Amino acid sequence: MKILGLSSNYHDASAALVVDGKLIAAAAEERFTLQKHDPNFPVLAAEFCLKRAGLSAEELDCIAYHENPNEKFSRTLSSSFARFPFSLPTFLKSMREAITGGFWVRNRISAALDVHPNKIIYVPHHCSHAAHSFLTSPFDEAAIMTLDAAGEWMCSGFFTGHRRQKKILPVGIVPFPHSLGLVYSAFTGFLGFKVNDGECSTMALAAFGQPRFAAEIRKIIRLTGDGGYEIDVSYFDFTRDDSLPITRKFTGIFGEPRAHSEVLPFDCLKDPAAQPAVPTEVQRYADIAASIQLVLEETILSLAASLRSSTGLPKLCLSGGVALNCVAVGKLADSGIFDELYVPPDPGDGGGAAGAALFQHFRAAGSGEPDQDFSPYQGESYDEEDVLAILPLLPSAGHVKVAVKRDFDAAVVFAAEALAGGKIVGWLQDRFEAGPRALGNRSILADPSNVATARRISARVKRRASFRPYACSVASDELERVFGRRKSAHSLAARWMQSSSEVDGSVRAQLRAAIHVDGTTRPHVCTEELNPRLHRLLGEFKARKGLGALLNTSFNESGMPIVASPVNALLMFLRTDMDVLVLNGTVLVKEEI
Amino acid sequence: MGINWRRWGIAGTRPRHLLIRLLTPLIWQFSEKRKFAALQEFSDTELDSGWQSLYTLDRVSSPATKAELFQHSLEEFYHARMFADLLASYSNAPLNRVAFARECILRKDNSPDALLEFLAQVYVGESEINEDFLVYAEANLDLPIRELFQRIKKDEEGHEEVSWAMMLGYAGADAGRLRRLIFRKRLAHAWKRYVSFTQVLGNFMLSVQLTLVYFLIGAPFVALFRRRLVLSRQEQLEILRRQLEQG
Repeated sequence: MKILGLSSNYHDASAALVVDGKLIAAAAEERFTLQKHDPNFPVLAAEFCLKRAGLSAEELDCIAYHENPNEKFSRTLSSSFARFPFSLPTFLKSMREAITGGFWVRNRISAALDVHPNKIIYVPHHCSHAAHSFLTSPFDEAAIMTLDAAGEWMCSGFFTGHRRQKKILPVGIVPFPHSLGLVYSAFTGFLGFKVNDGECSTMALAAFGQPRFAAEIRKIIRLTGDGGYEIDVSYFDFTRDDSLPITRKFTGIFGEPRAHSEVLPFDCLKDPAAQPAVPTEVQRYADIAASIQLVLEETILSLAASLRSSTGLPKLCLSGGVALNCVAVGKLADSGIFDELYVPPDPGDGGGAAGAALFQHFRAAGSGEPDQDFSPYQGESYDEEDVLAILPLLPSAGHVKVAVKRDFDAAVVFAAEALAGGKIVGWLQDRFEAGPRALGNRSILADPSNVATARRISARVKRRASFRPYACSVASDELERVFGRRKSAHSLAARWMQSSSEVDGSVRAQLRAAIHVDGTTRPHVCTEELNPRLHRLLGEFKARKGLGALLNTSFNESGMPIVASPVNALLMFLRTDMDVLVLNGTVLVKEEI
Repeated sequence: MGINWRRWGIAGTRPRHLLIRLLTPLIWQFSEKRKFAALQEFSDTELDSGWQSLYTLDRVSSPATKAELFQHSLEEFYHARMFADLLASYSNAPLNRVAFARECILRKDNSPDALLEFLAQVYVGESEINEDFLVYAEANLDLPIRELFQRIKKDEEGHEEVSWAMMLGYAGADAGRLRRLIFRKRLAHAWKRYVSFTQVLGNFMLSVQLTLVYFLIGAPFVALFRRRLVLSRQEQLEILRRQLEQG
């Protein structure tokens, strides 16, 4: 059975192909269009998926769309009428969206792929999320929690998954507008970051603050005692068409929003005692970030505890956009509420396409066996021939020379040497990763003990705020040395940077550039089976510096998606202060090296 | 007695450019939102131009052409970043930008003329934007904005020349064919502008009609069904269960 999954029309449009229950290909449209979080219909991603499998659209048995647009429209329409007569802008916006897009999703897919409309089915949004986490997990049976902004009428969903019975059963929901995702995003906008993009900045800023506003936020996010929660929506206006969905009641408590252009002086590469003195007004924003982060964590832990006791299941699959909050996931893993925790590599809407396709297959022809070979490397792969062909002809690349050509072993040794020497290495190999995290196939790498290099990456490569920390790739055999026996680091949720864990004191100096101010890092655990090339590089680096770990950040600039092809990588290499570019087995260096 | 246009330095100016020169400073002075949106649009346009070259690069075989396209893309990405940086220096809140759907200029039929048509489109786009940038550079706008336009304009002139030279290389000496092709592309550009204008007009008319619907139908609807507009948690759970059972 061949199923193409699609998601679009909100953010992170994507496509995924499932053949006989196995995920063959998945990619976000942004990787091809170079527009971060591109919400438009994923024409290029769908083309890639079909090409990867050598299929034409007419060979597909089914196309599964990640939500029901009619239900979504009924929600936006009803919620705008519920505030009649003060909701005209919302009404106009939702009607315009429906008239120009939402009503015609089936037609749009049918026309774009030239398939019969009867082949297109809508999978409820939270079922897509639930299926994505459960069906890519190694579990036979698990509780499933989906925490999202909104999907149709739901904001959070609680399910149980049973492979042998081929069932994913809903056991509870939290309806719109009671959304943890929307509340966290509203705080993100208030703190001067971009909604649906800057949530990681809110999370990073939280480490510099004290949660002194937690009591106020607990009045906004209230646990209901029956396994759910509710939001006091009088603080928000989720229907507003701008980046700041808050009301006067909100600013009455938390003050004026932070100006986007104001620089935050916090520095994640300095220890807490060495942080610069900041004005009270600036510290207030960090305290608010710490407060919303704390209350979010408390809420998630409470929901998880309730789900554990109501289902009796010892394993949890977590997904939805809120599951991208790696600090909360780390706390959940450490809490021991569930024996095992799994988060897919792309738990947000980008994974919705894969979830919809997997759900439809599971429902129609599920095998009952977990996919033991699931890999996050589902994107397109490229060779470096174009780059080698054009490089001598580029006036802007006169200072770049080819140090190694099509020799993987030599490339690894060269890269390890450069890394140990404090160089910044762009690393591109094989298929790109699904999701927003760089898992060693489209990464910028550096020596994690070298703080100066990390600062150079922030200032001259990524253009990143100084308070945002870097993550790391750790060889699987170094896990115990780096994290001790901490549960969060050893859980399934830590494999692909889904959770943050405290680093053991004995190796902190060796990892300082990849550790946040609170002593945690977000690890990618690199195994030889899943990523032999990066594993090899980690081994070579260990031979030089004594620890098989590297600072690993995504191969993109601020505001741009992660690069897909070697040509994209070369563009970024030439425009930034990277020193070395490794493209599969080829190494390019700038002559200063 | 006629108006002495020459005295105002606008003789021979196209009406569109005249409007830009006269109205943009006024509009941007009174509406920061519009100024930010315009800067974002310039950034997006440059990025799209760079993306079009990258997309085409993947589909041509000549290394020389690939290199030209890459260089073009690199410069357009620089321009996009400059506009984005300028916008960031002005704006106090992140812009709620809507990503537009990419439309590949390159025809997908692999015909020998596809690249020539692409180059003609690039040439027309570059020459038009070059003219626009000149107008913005001379309009009474903030100094950093004018300086940016002046700086980018030089690159755009280079792009215009390169795309012309590449077109000549592909079309050979058939100048008449090139002229016809460019005329067709200019016509297509004008049509696109007209369609954009009608879309704005259409959106406005749609908003008026929807406003009437909102108040005329919305009022009785809400009066009758307000209580039923939001379903209870249990009702929604049942709906979800039913949906899953029905497949």
